[in-house]
Amino acid sequence: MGLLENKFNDNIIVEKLDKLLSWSRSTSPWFFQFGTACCAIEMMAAAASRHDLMRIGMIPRSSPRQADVMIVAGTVTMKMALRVKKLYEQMADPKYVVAMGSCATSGGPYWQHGYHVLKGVDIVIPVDVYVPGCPPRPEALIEGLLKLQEQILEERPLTRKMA
Amino acid sequence: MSPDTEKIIIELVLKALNGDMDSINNLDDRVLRSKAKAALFKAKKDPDAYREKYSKSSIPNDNENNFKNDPITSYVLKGLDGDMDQINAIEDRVLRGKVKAALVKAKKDPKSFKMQVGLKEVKKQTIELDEEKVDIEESINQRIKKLALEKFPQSILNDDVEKFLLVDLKSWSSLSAYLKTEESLFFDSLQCQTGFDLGEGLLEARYNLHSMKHDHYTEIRIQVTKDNPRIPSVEEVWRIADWFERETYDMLGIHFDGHRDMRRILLPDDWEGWPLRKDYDVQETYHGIVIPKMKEGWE
Repeated sequence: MGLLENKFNDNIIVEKLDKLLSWSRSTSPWFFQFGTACCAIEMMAAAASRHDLMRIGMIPRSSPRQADVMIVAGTVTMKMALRVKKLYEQMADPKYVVAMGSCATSGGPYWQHGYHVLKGVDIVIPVDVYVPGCPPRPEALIEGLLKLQEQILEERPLTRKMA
Repeated sequence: MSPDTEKIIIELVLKALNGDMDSINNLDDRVLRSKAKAALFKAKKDPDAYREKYSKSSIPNDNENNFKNDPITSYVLKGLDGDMDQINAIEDRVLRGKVKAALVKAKKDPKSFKMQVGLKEVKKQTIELDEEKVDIEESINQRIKKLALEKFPQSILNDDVEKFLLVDLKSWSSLSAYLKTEESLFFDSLQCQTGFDLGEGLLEARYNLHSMKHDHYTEIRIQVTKDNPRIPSVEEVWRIADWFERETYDMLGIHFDGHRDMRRILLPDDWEGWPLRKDYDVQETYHGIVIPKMKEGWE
């Protein structure tokens, strides 16, 4: 950190505000519990005591207004697609989306013949992390969420983006 | 098959050919019963030949044959008298197992077992005498047809009512209420209501009814054309039909007249078309979301 480094006592760390913000964001991404199908069971298992998502700072919230991450856990039908979009729009920035399971990433088993299924939730909302599996195990979901945290950590919210 | 069971089956089949089905139906041993029924089915193709073939070799009428209707009991009685060889010689494993299990029970109190068997035999004989006069019972569907045609002429359209009743569209609303309230039928539970596309411009609604009081079932079918798919609703007769009929409407587009809440139940209200019809064509877009017809390259 250039000039200021090692100028203070041991218990003072000097760091960019930019990095502090992204670090604090990445370590507590509260997620919006949004189970649309069977993947929701694995999401619940991941949040429950054995896998305990809270140890990586993720707390389930029931309202989109309190959440940072939306885990789309399961099949999204056409009827649901409109509501997924609406809920995503209700979330406050910065917001992230994890598409959990085959259905949310690509339509899964309904890929060819499911007339009523949205072929991947990325058609209606931007997705940050895709977790494959049918359904993915809690470990896979946690892996995906750690990937998301890495992504958030690399963000620089205060730096002006170059166009 | 051991010679013993074979003999029993032949005797039973001969009896059944003379119109006495009860002795087969009253068999406790399921395996033996089904074997006897299978043999009867074969024998019925040419009853005279069967009679000729086996009537000569009829079984000598000794004491043991008092219990021929129930082989297990006869074996157990033999076992109680110390004759285990016959039991061990039974080829049918299921029967042998059952006999041995029954023997263990009987050995705890041989006297009362013998008394029971004696009583059972007496009872059976009297029942047989009574039931010889009764004709073969008519099925529930035949009974419904008879009752329905008395009340609502031309309401049942099919002649062979073994599996289902094909009901006329016009009489369905009054017939449904009758089926539920008539004391001897009393179909108080609609277990399932669903629909089919039969092709050739025909749609079909099916109703599976059950009576908790009498414990009998029936199936009602109603056919309508695709041009005018309207069926009177039974939602006010059986309340459960509310959602059943909404689902049939959602999937096949059969409109139920008189239903108080005729909306789609699964698909969104603004969806186009009826997915379970054979000529269904998926709409191109839904609220701006493109619906791909079919993706290639994955089977």
